[in-house]
Amino acid sequence: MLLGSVLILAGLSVAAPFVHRALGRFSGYALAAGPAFVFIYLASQLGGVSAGQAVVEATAWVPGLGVNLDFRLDGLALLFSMLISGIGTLIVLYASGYLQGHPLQGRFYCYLLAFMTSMLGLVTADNILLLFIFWELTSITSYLLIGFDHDKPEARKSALQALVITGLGGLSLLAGLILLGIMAGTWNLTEIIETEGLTDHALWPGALACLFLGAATKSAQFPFHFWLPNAMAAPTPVSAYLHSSTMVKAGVYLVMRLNPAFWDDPAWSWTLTGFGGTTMVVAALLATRETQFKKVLAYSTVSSLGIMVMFTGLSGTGIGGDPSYAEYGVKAAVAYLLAHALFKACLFLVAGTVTHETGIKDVEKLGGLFGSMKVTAVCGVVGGLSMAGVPPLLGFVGKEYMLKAATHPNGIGDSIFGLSSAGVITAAVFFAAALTVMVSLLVGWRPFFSPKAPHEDEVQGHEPPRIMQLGPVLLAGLSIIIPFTPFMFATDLASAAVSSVAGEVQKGAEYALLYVGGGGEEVAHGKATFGMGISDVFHPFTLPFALSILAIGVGAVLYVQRAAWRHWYTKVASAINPIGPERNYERIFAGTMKFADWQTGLLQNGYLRTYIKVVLVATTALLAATLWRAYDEGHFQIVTPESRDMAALEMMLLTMIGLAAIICTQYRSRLSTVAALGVVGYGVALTFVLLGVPDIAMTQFAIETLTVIIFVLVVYHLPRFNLYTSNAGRVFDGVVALAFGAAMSLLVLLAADEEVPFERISAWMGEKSYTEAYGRNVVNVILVDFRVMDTMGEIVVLGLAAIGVYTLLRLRRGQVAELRPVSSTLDPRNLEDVVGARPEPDEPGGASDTPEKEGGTA
Amino acid sequence: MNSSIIFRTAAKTLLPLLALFSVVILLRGHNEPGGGFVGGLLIASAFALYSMAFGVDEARSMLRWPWGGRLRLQTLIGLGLAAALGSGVVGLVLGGAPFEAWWNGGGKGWDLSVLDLGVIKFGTVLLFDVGVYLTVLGVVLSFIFTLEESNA
Repeated sequence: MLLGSVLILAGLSVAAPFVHRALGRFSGYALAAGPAFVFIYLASQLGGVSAGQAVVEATAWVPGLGVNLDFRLDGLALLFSMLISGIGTLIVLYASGYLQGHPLQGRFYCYLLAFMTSMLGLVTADNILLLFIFWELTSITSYLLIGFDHDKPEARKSALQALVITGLGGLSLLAGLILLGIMAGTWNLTEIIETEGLTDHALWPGALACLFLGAATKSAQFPFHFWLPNAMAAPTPVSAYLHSSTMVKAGVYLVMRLNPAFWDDPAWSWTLTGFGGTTMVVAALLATRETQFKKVLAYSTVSSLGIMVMFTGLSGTGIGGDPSYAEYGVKAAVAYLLAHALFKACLFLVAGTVTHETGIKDVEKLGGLFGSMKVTAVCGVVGGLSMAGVPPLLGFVGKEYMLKAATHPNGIGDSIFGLSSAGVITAAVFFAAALTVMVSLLVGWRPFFSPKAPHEDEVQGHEPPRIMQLGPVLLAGLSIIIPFTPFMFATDLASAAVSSVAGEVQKGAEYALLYVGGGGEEVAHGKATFGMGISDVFHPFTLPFALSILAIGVGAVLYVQRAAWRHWYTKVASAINPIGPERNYERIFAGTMKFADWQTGLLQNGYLRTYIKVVLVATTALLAATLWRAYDEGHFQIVTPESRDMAALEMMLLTMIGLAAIICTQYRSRLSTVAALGVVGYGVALTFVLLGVPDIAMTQFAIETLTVIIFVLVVYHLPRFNLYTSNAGRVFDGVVALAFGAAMSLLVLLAADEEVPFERISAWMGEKSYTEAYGRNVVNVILVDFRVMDTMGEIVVLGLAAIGVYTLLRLRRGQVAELRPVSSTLDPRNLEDVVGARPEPDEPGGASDTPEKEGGTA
Repeated sequence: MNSSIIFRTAAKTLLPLLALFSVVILLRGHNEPGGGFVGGLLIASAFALYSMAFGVDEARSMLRWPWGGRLRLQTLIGLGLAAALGSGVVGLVLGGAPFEAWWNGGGKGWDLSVLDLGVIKFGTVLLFDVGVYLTVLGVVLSFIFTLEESNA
C-alpha cells in the first residue's frame, strides 16, 4: 500500500490538468482527496508502527542491480509522510482558492502532486538507490514549482539556482550513497543502518563528506543557505509546502535516518552540530534584516533547519558526552520538526493570504489588519507565538527540549576552542531563540495589531474565501492542541519517530521512557512522551525554562528596537556581503559559463572538421593508453600474422584502396574527392565479400552508394574549394590520421591474438544464436536480439538526426517564421547559432560548414 | 526534371523491383544475410533513384498509405520507432524483461514458408526488424529529399 500510495499520487498528478479542465474551480476538492486518502491510510498504521512494527514492502524492479521498490514505514517515515500528505492536502485546498482563475492552475496541481509523490517516496524508500531517485525527483519538481511564474526572469533565475545547488548536492549524495552501499555491501537502507562498524571503514570519511554535502544543499545549510530565500519567487502555497514543511526537510530526514548508524562517531556528530549550529545563528541574523513577509519566514526556516540538523548531531555519543542524556538531542530535533512544520506552514499561508488580499509584501507597511481579517489574524498570532516558543504552544515544547539538550552539563563533553562546548551551544541556541522571537513578532504581530503605517495609504484587508482559511486554522489549532493532549496521536507519532532516529544505546528502556514533567524529568514506565500537561506549563524554576522566558523578553526588546538593530546590522552586513556565499555562487556560476564558452569554442565550434579531429584524437589517445597498459601488464602480445601469399584479387583490391586514398588527399575538386572516397568504400566492401562476410559487404555497398549521393547533393551548398589550413595544420591533420589508422590496425592485430585473457563472445553468440534466438544469421541476431537495446538507441539517434537535418535545412531556407510561435522564449541570437547563419571570419562561405549528419553513419 | 529517358525508364522499373527485393532481404535476415537495416537502405536508394529521375514531389507522392493518403517521412520514422519500441514492450507485458523476444510457438510454431525462398518466423524480433527498416527508410529519405529540395 506504500507503493500504492505513491502510485495514487503519481496518477493523480498526471490526471490533474484534465481533472482541472473538467471540474474547473472545484478541481481542488477532487484532487485533495488523493493526499487525504493517503493521510488516512498512514494514520491507520500508527498503532502498529508505534509498537515497533514497521510496514515493509518489497517489489523487484531491477533486481540485477539491486535497485528494488522497497518501502518501509517506521516512526520517522510515518511522521514525515503524514506531514507530507496532511499538509499537502491543506495546500491543495488552499491553492484552489489562491490560484483561482489562474490560467495554469491545472499545471500547478500537476507539479504539486508530482512533488508530493516524490517526497512521499523519498521518506518511505528503503533502498538507497530508490531514495536517490526520489531525491532527484524532488529537485526537479521543485524547479518546476519555483519557476512556475516562468515569465518572470527572477523566478527563472531562482529556480535555476535551486536546481543547480540541489542538483550538485544530489550528485554528491549519489556518490555518498554508493560509497555507503559498498561499505555495507547492500543497497537496502535498513540493512545498511544495522551494519556494524561502518564508521571504521576506510571509505567512511569520503562517504560522510558526500552524504553531508547532499543533505546540506537540500536543507539549505550554511554555506548553501541562500537558495532557499531566493526560492520565495514561487507562489505562496509552494513556499508553504516545499520550503517550510517538506522538501527542505529532506536533508534533515536523511541525517535523521542515518543517525542510528553513525551516532557514536565524533566526525558525524560534530559535522552536524557545527554546520547546523552555524546555519541556525547565521540565518537567524539574516532573518532580522528582511522586511518582506515571505523572505523573513524563509530565513527563519533556514535557521530552523539548522536547529534540526544540529540537535540530531548532538544526540550522538560521538560528541563525547554521557549517552544517557544524548537522547534529548533527538527529542529536540523531532519535537521541533513537528512544531516547525505546523507553525511555519501556518505562517506561510497567513502571509500568502495577507499578500493576496492586500497586495502588500512588506510587513513594515502593514498594520491594523486584525479588524478586517480576524480569523487570519488569530492564526497568524498563534503561529507567531508558537514560533517564538511562548508557552504553552507546541513551539515552546520544542524549544524546551533544545535548551535541555544544550544546557545539560553531562550532555556535551568536549570543548570548543577552549570554551565549554555546552556553554557555547547554549549561548548559540539562546541567541538564535531571541532573534527568532523578534522575527516572530514581526510576522505574527506587526501586520495585525500595530497601528496602521502613517505614510501608507489605508490598507484594506478582508477575509479570504473559506477554503483558504481551512489550512491556517487547522495548523494553528494543532499547535495549541497537541501540547495539551499527550495521550493522543501526535505524541505516539513523535515517540515512534524518536525511536527510529535514536542510536542504539538510547533505545534502552530507561532512557526512552523519560517524561518531561513538572520538575524536569521523571522516569515513567510508559511511552516516551512529548506532551505537556497543563500543570507542566507552569514550570518550577529550571535553567532551560528560565532561558526560554529570557529569550522571549530579549526578543521582544529587539523587536521594539528593531530600527536601531537594523541600522547597526546593515553596516556590518555591507562589509560581509561581498565575500558571502551567494556572491561566490554567482562568481562560480559566471566562471563556469565562461569556461563552457571557451571549451565550446575549442571543441564544438560548429566546424565539422574540428569535430572529426576531436573525436579522432580522443579515440586514438584513449585506445593507445588502454592498449599500452594492457600490453605493459603482459595481457597479450602483438602477433605478427603468418605471412602468406596474397591472392591476385586481394593485391588488386589493396592497390585500388591505397591509390584511391592517396588521390583523395591530393585532388582539388570536391566531386573527384567524393568519387575517390567512394572507391575506397567499395574496395573495403569488396574485401568483405572476399573474406566471406556478405552481411557487412551488402550494408557497406548500400551505405557507400547513399553516402556518395548525399555528398553530391551537399556539394552544391559548399563554397569554392580553397586551402585555408596552414602547412603546419595539414601536417598535424596527417599525423592524427596516421595515428588513428595505426591504432586501429593495432587493435585488429590484437584481436587476432589467440591468447587473449578473456573468453571470446563470438563463440558464445554463434552457439546461442540458433538455440536461443532461433536465427542462423548471427550478425542479425546480434542486432535485433542480443544487443537489441543498442540498436534501439541507434535508430532513435537516426530519427533525431533526420529531425536535425530537416530543421537545419528548412531554417536555412528562410522558413524560420513557422517555427517561431512554438518557441517564443527562444533567444533569436541562439536561433542563429542553431541555424548556423553567423558569419565566419576565416571562411567566406563558412555558414555552409555547419554540422550536418551524414547519411547512414549508424 | 530533364533527366534522360533511359534513366527515367530504368528508375520506374527498378523501384518496384528494389522494393520487393528489400522486403525479401528484410524477411530473410533472420537466417540468411540481410535484415532490416540493409533492407531499409536498399529501398531508400530505390526512392532516391526515383526522386533523381522524376523529382522529389513525384517521389514523395509514391509513398502512400495502403488506403491512399500520403505517407509523410516523419510518420514513417515515428511508425518505425513505435514498432521497434512496441516489440520491446511485448516482452515486458508478457512478464519478462523489456525486449525479451517472444516467438510464435517458441520458434517452433507455425512458420510461413515462401515458395522455396525461405521461412518467415513470426515474433517480436521480426517486428523490431520491421521498425528498423521503416526508420532507416524514413531517415535516409528525409536526408536526401530535404537536400534535393534545398538545391532546387
